[in-house]
Amino acid sequence: MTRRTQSARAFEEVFAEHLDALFRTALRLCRGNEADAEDLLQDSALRAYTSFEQLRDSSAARAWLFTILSRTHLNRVRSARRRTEATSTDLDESAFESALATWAPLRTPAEQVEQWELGEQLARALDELPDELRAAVWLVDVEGFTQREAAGMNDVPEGTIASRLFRARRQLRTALETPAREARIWRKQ
Amino acid sequence: MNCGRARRLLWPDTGPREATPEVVAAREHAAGCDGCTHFLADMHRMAEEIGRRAPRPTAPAEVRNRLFQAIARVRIPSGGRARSSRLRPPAIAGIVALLVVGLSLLGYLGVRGGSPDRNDALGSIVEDRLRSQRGAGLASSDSAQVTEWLTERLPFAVQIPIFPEARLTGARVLVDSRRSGAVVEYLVGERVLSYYILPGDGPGLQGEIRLASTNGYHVASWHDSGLTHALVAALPESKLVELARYCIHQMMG
Repeated sequence: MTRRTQSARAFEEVFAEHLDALFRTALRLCRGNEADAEDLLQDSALRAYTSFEQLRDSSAARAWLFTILSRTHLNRVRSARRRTEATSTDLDESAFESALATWAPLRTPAEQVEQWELGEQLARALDELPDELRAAVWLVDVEGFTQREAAGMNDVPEGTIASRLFRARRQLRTALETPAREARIWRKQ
Repeated sequence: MNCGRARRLLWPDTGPREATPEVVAAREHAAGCDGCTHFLADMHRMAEEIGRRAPRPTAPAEVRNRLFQAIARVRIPSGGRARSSRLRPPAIAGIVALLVVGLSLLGYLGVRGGSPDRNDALGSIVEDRLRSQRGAGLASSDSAQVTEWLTERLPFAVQIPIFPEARLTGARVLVDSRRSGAVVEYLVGERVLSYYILPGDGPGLQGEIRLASTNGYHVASWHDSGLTHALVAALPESKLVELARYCIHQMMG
């Protein structure tokens, strides 16, 4: 077996091991559009394959693959944004602190979250988040990466990921609050 | 210490933090502040619930297959000089647009024994379009690599012409249900020049350059030794003829 073939097989094994996680992340980054997710994943897979020799530590493969996926997505978003001239609005530290201070706890958070139905409602709410917030909350809260790792994947400071996480959770809570309240009313009837 | 500062300093999920005087003050503040205590609990609960309830679909088998096929296609034995990647959708769309123009002008599917069938031609184009969306091309400026890549995939030999003013950018295989052809792509300035090589003799005498044009694209085509060649670009006809002659000259050489 040639060195090239060995390398290709090693890549395919690593890729196969993390494929499901990469697929569901691509799916969420593409707001549930499976064709777009597959296209993003294929692009990322080919980039990863061509630079596989740069991966020195196999235990870092998962974060490495997610970094490639995140940055490929980021490039696409930036490219689309350039076309539409939209801008991103991250909070600076003082604005972040002000936003944190205004967080009003729910009276019954346990009851609230119990109403979230089987993930579908959450998936819809996630898809409505801006790209940066969705990526941050998915990587940290769902895939379990640290904020530092997510910051590296998205090429932003760690504080920016913290601020995005906060904003994402705030928006998710707002998005899920109304259906949860309706469900409680419906259950009481 | 206000609530915003305390919450920022105690922001969860960041792991252990150094107990600086400010952090200690923030902890003291939070211990005596219901709002901050609730805030920290809320953040933990939100993170847990999102993680627990988020949908986790697995990659469908057909998606897995297509991904591994795409990876297999880029395993090119080369010296690693040229960059390989899947052609971008705009490039594919451009190729398909040129293919539509080129094939309709060349009567591609009407050659060699088969009667011209417009529906069949459109069917093949649509089929190729569908395949091209999932298929991989080769992006490379290395003519040896492009030749090798095409040779592995086609039943006939392909010679990659080198044009003095054109930069080679890559190639793709055209596939319909009956035969395979090739498209080699170049850039002339900022304009795409596509060189089609398709099995079958086109109309006209062998070696005779035929010109056609539509929608701003010009096509210079000729056939030789059972293959039809065509150059398609939004370039002046005289330029295209010059490039076609250059190409024929290299084939003969």
